[in-house]
Amino acid sequence: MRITEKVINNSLTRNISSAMRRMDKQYTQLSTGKRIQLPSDDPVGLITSLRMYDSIRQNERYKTNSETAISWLEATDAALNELTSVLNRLTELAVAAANGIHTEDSRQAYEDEIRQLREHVQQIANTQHEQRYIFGGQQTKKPAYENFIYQGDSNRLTAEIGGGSTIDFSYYGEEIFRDIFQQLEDFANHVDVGDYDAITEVDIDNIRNQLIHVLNIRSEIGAKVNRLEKNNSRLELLGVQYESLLSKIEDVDYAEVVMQLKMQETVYQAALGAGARIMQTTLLNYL
Amino acid sequence: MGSTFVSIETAVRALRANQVALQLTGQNIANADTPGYSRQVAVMAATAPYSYPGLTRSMTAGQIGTGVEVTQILRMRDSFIDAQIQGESSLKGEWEKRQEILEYLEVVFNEPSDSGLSTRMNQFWDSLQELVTRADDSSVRSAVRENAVVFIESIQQIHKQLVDLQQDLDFQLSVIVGQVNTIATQIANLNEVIGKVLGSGQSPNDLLDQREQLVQQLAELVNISVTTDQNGRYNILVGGSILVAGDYVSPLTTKLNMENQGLQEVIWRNNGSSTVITGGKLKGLLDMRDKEVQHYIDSINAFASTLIREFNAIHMSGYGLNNSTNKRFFSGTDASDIGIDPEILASLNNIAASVNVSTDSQYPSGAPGNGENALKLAQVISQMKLMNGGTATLSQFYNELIAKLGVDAEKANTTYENQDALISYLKERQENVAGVSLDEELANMIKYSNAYNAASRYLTTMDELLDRLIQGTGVVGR
Repeated sequence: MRITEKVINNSLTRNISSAMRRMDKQYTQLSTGKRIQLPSDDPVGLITSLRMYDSIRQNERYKTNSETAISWLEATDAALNELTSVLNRLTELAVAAANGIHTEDSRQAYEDEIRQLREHVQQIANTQHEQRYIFGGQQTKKPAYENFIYQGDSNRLTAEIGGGSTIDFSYYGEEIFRDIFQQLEDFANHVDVGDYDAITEVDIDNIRNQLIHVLNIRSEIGAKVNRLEKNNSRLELLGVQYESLLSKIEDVDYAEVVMQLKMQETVYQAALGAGARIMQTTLLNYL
Repeated sequence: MGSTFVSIETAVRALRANQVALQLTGQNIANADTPGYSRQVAVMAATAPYSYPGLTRSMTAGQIGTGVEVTQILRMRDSFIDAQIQGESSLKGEWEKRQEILEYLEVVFNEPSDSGLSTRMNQFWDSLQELVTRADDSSVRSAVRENAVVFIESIQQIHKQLVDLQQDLDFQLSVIVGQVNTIATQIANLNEVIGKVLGSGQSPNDLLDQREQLVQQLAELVNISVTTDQNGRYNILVGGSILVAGDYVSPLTTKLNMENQGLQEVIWRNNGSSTVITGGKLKGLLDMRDKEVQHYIDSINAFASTLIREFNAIHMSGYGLNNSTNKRFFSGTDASDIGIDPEILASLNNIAASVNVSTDSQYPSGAPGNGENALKLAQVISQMKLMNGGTATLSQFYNELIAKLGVDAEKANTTYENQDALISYLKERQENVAGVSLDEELANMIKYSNAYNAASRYLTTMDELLDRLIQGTGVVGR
C-alpha cells in the first residue's frame, strides 16, 4: 500500500487529538470528582442519579420535619412537666385544706396560692416555642388563653415525615387543660367559704383526674417522640444507602481514572515522539 | 544506415518527455498538501518504430525505435471511493449537526448540577415543606416566594434559550441553502469547462479534482445523487429533482411556512415546489428544529402550564395569613410567561398555606399555624402524577426529559464519531491512491532529471558525430 506524508500527518493529528480529548475528559473527571458531566456521559446512570438526588433531598426534608416535630413535642413535654408539679402542689394544698380547721388567715393564704397557681397554669398554657404558642391549636400567633378563656382552635399541627406519611405533633389547649380553670376557680371559692366537703368530694378528685390526664398525654408524647426518633434513624440509614448508590454511579474511581490518565499520557507522548521522528524523515535529508 | 538526424529527433523527444515528467513532478510537489488534489503521472510510450532497408536484403534486422512521447497525463484516483465518500458524507453532515445541537441542548439544561432546574425545583419543594410546619413564619413565607422566583427563572431561561436556538437554526437553514446554491453554481461552471476540454480529447485533471471536492462538500450539506453524462459532466439530483444538469443550475430557496410557526421551509426557486431532503446538514438542521428542539419547547411548556394550573388550583382553595383566599400563586400560562402573581409579590400573607379550618360554612377561614395546604402544594411537585397521562410526577417528567436528552446526545455522539471515522478511513484510502508522496516525487525527479541529462549527453554525442562527419571528413591530404 502506498503511504504518503499526508496520510501520516492526518493519522498523527487524529491520534494526538483523540488522545488529548480522552485526557481532557479524565482531567475533568479528576478535578470535579464526578463521572457524569453531561447527560450523554452516562444516560442510564443519570436516570438513577437524578432519582437519588430527589430521594436524598426528600429524605433530608423528612428528617428536618421529624426534628421540628420532636423539638415541638419536647417543648410541650417540658410545659406539661411544669403543669404536673403545679398539679402536685395543688393536690397537697387540697389535701391540707380539706383536713382540719383553718383560720380565716390561713384559708386566705391557701386561696391566694390557688389563685396564683391558676395564673401560673395559664402561663403554662401560653408557653411559646420559637415564638409560637404551642397550645393554641393552629392559632399559633395569639396567646392560647386570655382571662382563662380559650382563644385557639381544636386543630393540630402536622408534618410529613415520610413519603405521604404525616404525624400530628401539637396538642391544643382544650384537650390538655379542659375545664381546669373553672375547677380551680371553684376550688378557690370552696376554700374561701370553707366548704370542706366540696374540697374532699369534688376538688381533690378533679385535680387527681387532671393529673392522670396530663400523665397520660405525657406518655403519649413519649411514644410519639420515640416513633419519630425511630423514623429518623430509619431515614438516616436510608440516606446513607442513597448516598452510597449515588456515589457508585456518579463519583469518579480515582485509582482507575488516574491509571487511565497515566496510560493515556504514555500513548500521547509516544504518538508525539513517533510523529516527530517519522515526520523528520524524508528523502530530502539524504539527497 | 538511418539518418543521423533521426537520432537528434530521438534525443529531442527524450528531452521533451522528461521535461514534461519533471514539470508534473513539480506540480505534484507543489500540490502535496492541496485538499482534493490527485497526483498526476506522465504515461510515457515509445514512439512508433520504423524499418529501414539493409544493404543486402530488403528485410531489416529489426525495427528501430524513434524515441519517446508522453501519451497521457494520468490522474491517479479511485472513483469508486469517491462515490462512497459522497454517499457517507450526507450521513456525516446530518449527524454532525445533530451532535452539535444536542451538545448545546445539554448545556442549556445544565444537568446534573447545583444550579439546574432540578435543584431549584427541589429547593422550592423544600421551602414549601418548611411552610407546612411553620406556616405562620414570615421568613419561611419569604423563602417560599424567593425560591419560587429562582425556580421560574430557570424555567423561563430554558424556554428562552430553546426558542432562541430554534430561531438560530432557522437562520442557519438559509445560510446552508445559500451554500448549496453557491456550490451548485461552481459545479455547473466547472461542468461547462470540463465538458469542453473532454470534448477536445484532453483530460482536465485539476478541474476534475476541484469538482470532486465541491461534490463532497455538497454531499455534506444535502442528500444528492450524482450521474455523469456522455460529455463527462455531472448531473446532480436532490430528492429526485434536478439541482445541477450540465451547466444548468436550479437553485433552492427558503420561504416562511405559516403552518409551521412562520419558520422557513426549503423549496425550489423555479417552481416553488417543496424539496425532499433526506440527508446532510439540511436534514439534521430541519429535524432538530422541527422535532427535537420543538419537543423540548413543548415539554418545558407542558411542565410549566401543568405546574401553573395545578399549583394555582390548590393555592386558590387555601387561605392566607390574612384569611385571603381564591388567590393565584403563579401568573402566566406556560413557560414563556410564567411569573409570580402580583398579589403574592405584594404580600407574603397572601400565600395560602392553610386549608379551611372553620366548621361554619358561612365563614370559612384559615389558621396561621395550619400548613396543610402547603403540604398539598408541595405534593403537586413530588407526589401528584400529573404528567404523561397520569403516570409521572412533575419531577419525574423533568428527569425523564433529561434522560431522553442524554440518550439522544449519546447516540448522536457515537453515530457522528463512527461516521467521521468512516469518512476519514475512506479519505485515507483515496489518499493512498491519489496522494502525493514526496519521497516518490523526489525519486522520480532524480530519475527524470538523470534521463534528461543522459538525453542531453546523447544529443551532444550526435552533435560530435555530425561535427566529425562534416568538419573532419573529406579533408585527406588537404
